[in-house]
Amino acid sequence: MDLLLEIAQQVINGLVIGGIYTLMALGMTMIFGILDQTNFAHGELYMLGAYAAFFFSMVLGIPYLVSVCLAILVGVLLGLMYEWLIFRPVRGKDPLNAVIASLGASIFIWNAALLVFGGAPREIPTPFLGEKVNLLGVSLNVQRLLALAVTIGIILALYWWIGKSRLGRAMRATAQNREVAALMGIKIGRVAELVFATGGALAALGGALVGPIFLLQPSMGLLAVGKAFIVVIVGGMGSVLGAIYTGFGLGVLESLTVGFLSSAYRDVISFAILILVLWVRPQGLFGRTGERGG
Amino acid sequence: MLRLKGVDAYYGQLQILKGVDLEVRPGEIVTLLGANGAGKTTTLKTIVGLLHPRAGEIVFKDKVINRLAPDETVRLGLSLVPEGRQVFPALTVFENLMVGAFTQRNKAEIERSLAFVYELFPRLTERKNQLAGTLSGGEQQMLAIGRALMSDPEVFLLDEPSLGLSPLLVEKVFATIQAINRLDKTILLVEQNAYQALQIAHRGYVLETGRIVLSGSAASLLQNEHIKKAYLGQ
Repeated sequence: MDLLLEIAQQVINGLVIGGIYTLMALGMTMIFGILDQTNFAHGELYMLGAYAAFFFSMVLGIPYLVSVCLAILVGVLLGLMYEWLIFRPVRGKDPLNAVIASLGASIFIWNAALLVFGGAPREIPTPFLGEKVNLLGVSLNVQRLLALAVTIGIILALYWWIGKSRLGRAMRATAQNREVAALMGIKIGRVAELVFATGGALAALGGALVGPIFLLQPSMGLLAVGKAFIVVIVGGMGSVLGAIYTGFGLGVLESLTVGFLSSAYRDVISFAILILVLWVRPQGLFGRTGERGG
Repeated sequence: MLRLKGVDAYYGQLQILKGVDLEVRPGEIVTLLGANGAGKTTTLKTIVGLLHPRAGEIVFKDKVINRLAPDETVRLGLSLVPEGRQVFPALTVFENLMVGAFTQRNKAEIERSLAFVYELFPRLTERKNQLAGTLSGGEQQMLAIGRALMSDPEVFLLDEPSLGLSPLLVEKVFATIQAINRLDKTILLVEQNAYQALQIAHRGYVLETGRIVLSGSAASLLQNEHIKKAYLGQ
């Protein structure tokens, strides 16, 4: 019974972390699938989202949940800046240009954050952090549960939006054939803004939700973007469903590894899966060869 | 209605169109004939704004549209059925049609267009929830035509709709084009299948290495010795 409880505990922890990987990976996989561009500066959206939540709640004294919503708005604005300043100028050129431009942006933003925020780790105390609930003998931290619930809610809403709405259809059409999508009256520049705004919002939300669980550091984006990249590649580049399953799956696997083996093996697991998938199924678990799509 | 005056177009440094003059009047079916590489597809791409002319003028409804992007020309009433159909393979038939209606915001209008397309192609009704990539070539062509109709265009541009279809389906596609024309839609039809195209067209132009070398009524072109030899195999 103790073992069962321990497993349940680790699975919940894993789902929380996995949810954050998923929030990051969704934006990255959409940017890749719809716009053919790779965003190496995605982790900085996550980091700035966390610092935005810190700023609103700790400096301005706004309630935590409102601060999270404001951090999402900051994420939207940052996403739009990414599109206008980094990605639009290199669209339609060699894809390597976007890689280099976003790598440069990542280094710049990370160091600017170090300069402005300082290197010392910060924390966001929230009213939920100390609270625990007992669910069938499993003790659960309310902040973690909140993060998980919000993440799942947002991912379901996003999935519905991409699958059923007019703009979601336009995004998928653009992913499949940009030229013909333009012939249908879809403005590709608008779609790109929408994709980056969405990606920015999701990453910033992730940062704002885990900010209170972990500590805030300017380098936090670098660690997260690496994991999100593994999720994107393993799930299949451009696949939304792949990012969702892989993100949560990887989080749970990592968490179980930490709980039952050793935390030293956490990153070993992710990279082992990455290598295995690249070896036997290079298009990713949910990826399609040749064509791309939602 | 649609008029090209001395249009030059390039792919990079390569000149494809050399002073193309062409006119399509309201209610007409005009066909643009020519061999592979003559510049037929380039002409259509230049009209809808996927390419921009380096010289000359494209006038649609008394407006110069040289610099417009494709998402703007479709709002003015031009709609292209691209070569090779190019349906969105991972979208369903219904979703493909709805993307075609992207510029339409009036729900009732969209419903009407949808009902019209389903009536024109009952086959698409049966398969509306199927992914477009799983349709046969003929069904994909119908979907591509239906999708272009969803924007309720005034001028309908078709790029080789008969390409790769069986003779029976080719007949059906050409009959459909005539049916659409009877609904007051103006049509510019690019074809390699000169005989079939001239059967339904009012007038025609012949494009050779980027230049219009012949033009006239469909009946006169069918009798023309050069056309008979080069395009009709007679």
